[in-house]
Amino acid sequence: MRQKLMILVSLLTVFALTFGGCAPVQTGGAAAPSGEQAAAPVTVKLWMHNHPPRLPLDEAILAQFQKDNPNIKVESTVIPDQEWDTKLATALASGSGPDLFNQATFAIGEFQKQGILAPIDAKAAGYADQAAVYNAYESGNALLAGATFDDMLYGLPTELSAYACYTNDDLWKAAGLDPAKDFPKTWEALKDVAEKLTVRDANGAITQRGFDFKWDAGIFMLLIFNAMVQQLGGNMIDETTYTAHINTPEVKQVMQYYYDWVNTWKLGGPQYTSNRADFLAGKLATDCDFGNWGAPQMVDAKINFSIHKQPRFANAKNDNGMANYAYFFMVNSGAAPEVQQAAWKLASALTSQPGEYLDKAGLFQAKADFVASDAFKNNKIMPVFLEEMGLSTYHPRIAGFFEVADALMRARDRVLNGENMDTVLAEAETEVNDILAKAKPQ
Amino acid sequence: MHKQLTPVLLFCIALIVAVIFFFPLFFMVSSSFKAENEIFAAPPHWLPHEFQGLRQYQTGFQAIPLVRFFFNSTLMASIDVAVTVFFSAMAGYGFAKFNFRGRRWMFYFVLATIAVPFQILIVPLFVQMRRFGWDDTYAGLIVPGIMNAFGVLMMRQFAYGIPDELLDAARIDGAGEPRIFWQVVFPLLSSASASLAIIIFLFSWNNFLWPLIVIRNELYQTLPVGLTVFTQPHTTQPQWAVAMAVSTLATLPVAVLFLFFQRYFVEGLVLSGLKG
Amino acid sequence: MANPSTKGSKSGFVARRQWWGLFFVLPTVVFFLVFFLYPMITGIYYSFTDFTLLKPPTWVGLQNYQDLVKDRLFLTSIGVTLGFVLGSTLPVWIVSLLAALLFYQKFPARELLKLLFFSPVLPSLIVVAIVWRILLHPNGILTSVIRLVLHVPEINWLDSPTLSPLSMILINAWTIIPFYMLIWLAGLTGIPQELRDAARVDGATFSQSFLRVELPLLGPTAVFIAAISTINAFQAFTLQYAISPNRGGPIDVNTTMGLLIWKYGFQYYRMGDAATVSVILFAIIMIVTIIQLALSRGDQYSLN
Repeated sequence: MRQKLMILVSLLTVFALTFGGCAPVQTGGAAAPSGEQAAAPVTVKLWMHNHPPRLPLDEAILAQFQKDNPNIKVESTVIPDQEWDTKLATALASGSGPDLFNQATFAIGEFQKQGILAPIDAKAAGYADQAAVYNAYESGNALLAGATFDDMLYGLPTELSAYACYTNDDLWKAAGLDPAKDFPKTWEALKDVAEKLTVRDANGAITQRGFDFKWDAGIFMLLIFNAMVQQLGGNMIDETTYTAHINTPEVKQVMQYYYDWVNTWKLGGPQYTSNRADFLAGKLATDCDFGNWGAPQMVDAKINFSIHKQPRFANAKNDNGMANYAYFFMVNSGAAPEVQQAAWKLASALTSQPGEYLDKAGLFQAKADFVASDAFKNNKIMPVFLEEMGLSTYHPRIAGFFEVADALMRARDRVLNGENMDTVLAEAETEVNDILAKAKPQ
Repeated sequence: MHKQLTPVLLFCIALIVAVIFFFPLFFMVSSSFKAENEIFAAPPHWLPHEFQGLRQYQTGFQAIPLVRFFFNSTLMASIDVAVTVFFSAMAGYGFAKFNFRGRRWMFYFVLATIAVPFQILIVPLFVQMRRFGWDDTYAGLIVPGIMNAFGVLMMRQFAYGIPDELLDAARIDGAGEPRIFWQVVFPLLSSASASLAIIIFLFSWNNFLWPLIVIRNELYQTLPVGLTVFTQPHTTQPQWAVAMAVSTLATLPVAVLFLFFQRYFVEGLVLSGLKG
Repeated sequence: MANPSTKGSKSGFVARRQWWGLFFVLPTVVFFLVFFLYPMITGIYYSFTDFTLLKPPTWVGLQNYQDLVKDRLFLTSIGVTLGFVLGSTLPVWIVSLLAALLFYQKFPARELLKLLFFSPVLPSLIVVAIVWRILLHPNGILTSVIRLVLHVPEINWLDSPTLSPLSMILINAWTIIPFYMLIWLAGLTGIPQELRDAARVDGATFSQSFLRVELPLLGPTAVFIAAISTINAFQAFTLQYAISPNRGGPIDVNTTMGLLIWKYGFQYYRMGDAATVSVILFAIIMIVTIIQLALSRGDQYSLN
């Protein structure tokens, strides 16, 4: 009898320890208890990605900011890339998240849906009102659209990005082509140019590609493939209604182009080395999915390059390039009001030196006065990027972004593998709609 | 008529089979001394044409925090071995040589955990670690795997073989139960402990799924997860030779251990009652 | 220190002593309660919830299960898993038995060759993935070997939707056949030599002796290997994670249920759905194992 009791007691102790010792998991709505008294000292918890060239610039600004604002203390943490998503989500969910963090637009849909983001406090950031913020940026409406939901702005950009086309000028000249004159304006023309730039060995195997897409991650279906669909007037994902439109003539045309690229014209495909790697190795003549951050890498690899706008379709309805994406400073809606104000002030300070950040860290922040300066105008590549960005829109900002991207990639591979395109697209539309229905804000 | 294959013929067959199975590892070690452009050479280079010495190994130490990964893996494996062996011996002894209320269902419960696929535990364990504050820490990495039901099973089989007279004699001499375990039983289980230690070390050293999930900070990462960076084909610069060097290093401890203690490994399998 | 009185209160003495047994097993039992039973029950609970990292679990009843039935990726993963299990159980079972028979015989350098044969068991599956990625390059070593008999330009071992799953089965077999061989060997050594000799004396050939004498006595071993190789194959994750293009590709031909659980839980952070798939996987494994053990009732591995 006593034995039974002993067993029971030990089990109860165990369960008590397991259950009792844990705090309930909170959502990001919990108030972060950092510095609550008005006008009294306020602490802002700041989380940043680990981008080494940028860190010293940040530190300089942080030091100056705290000197200029003696009542604001900044606790800054740098977090490595691969830990970012889980760490941030975990911290936000348990109520211990940062007050200010710079987050990529890929996940912004999910965060906004959960109510984690605070809309901008324009005055705290040093602007008269929200409209003034948009005006402070070149093509502000287009470029800040990434953090805009229902006409409210939820962030200040730390890095705006788009893809442009880079040509390896040496390889072009070797094929008798002039990148400045002969760069194709249309995808159709690209095919012919790429043929001229493709080199094969005696067995017919490709040793140098003229151009190739980036095949190895689903995200490019939403950054590149979907942008091509948009050129034709379509759009695979409607982020307002959370619906998918995949079984459409526009998508079919782009999918057919991809299929032909790999199977009919045999100019590239997923079985080859990644296009970015081969471009830097001098084995690929043209690459259209590098941002401005690619330029330093090419300098290191000793590639002589020039920049061009993306091709469009001959029958295009829209003149857009590839999708824009960005990193924005965002503020935790769960932080105390004074902390939020301080956070926006800090965010504004951290984005107040676009020249330095572009120059030393390769990060483009599109402030209007910087863009108007000579420094910017004389930049070899940025004007092309800026023009493309102004013409293009952001990728769909949905919760479930990566899952949708993966599903689209699978559909693409099925078509490449020879399955009937109509069937695949119809099934993909159902699949993506299911994903979106599950991910949709309730 | 009794057909018997001659030893020589058997040797030939075994040689071919052994070579086939050993070849990939031989290739790994050989490639760790090759130049990068030799790795995919066609026709293949069986041995390095341009012997690189230890250069790929040196690069390996620069490419990833190899020393840190080694340290973490060693830490985890050592703790796993020590704790598993000790507590399995204790539990095995308890199940084998004692008769208490609930013994049967407790034993079946422990046994049943062997059949539980780890995948059903990863999400709840992950949440549990967050609750304990152990997410992304050594505690979270090591504690959930610190004991092993197979060890209990094995130790119980071995413990059966301990003569009761020995235990009774110690009791008559006035020894308390803990002391009997520590001074009489545990030493008698030493060969079983050695076998279990080898098996647990192998399992712990190569453990992948749990460290992948619970640790994101490089400081606490173990070797297998640290090596996944080499499985991505689309890095900007191919580093296959370095990957081979690092892989060789990662396999070395287990290989050495096994080389010297294989007898215990086999014994462990045999005598844990697998014959039924 | 208890002063044992050997007369009179013997039953009391024995009873008190048995508590020590409980004390000795308690740490282990408690450990499994906290880190196995509790998570398992919680996991089953999560399968009835909608649960992402950003918000706590909210009860949705059978919704996840209903959605899964229509989930294309999930249904594919069942097929992928079954294919992998079929390819990784019976063939492996047979080959490892043959290898055991081989290494049971006496011939020169047997121990050394056995050691070499055993080496695939030692490296971590990540190392296995790295090495085999090189070996299975379209223009790599395995292709060169095939080229000795067939004239082929390139073989897409890992990128072809048809070949890729077969490659996984092949690599997996390479890693575990030697391990199961050891277990077979252990079983073989347990068969008394007299039985074999008696059969020989009676005029049986090698194969007759094997089929009539050894195989039946290997029953428990055979069942054991069948059971654990099946349980292991159903949980396939690491190889597919590390070696298949884009973690489960090409397309989805390598997305096993184990990989899907990780994908749903730790790539998409749909923890509720991950839990649901894991519950289903657990149920499948349980059912299959029970069927296996029931079918071999006569030779059941005894647990006394």
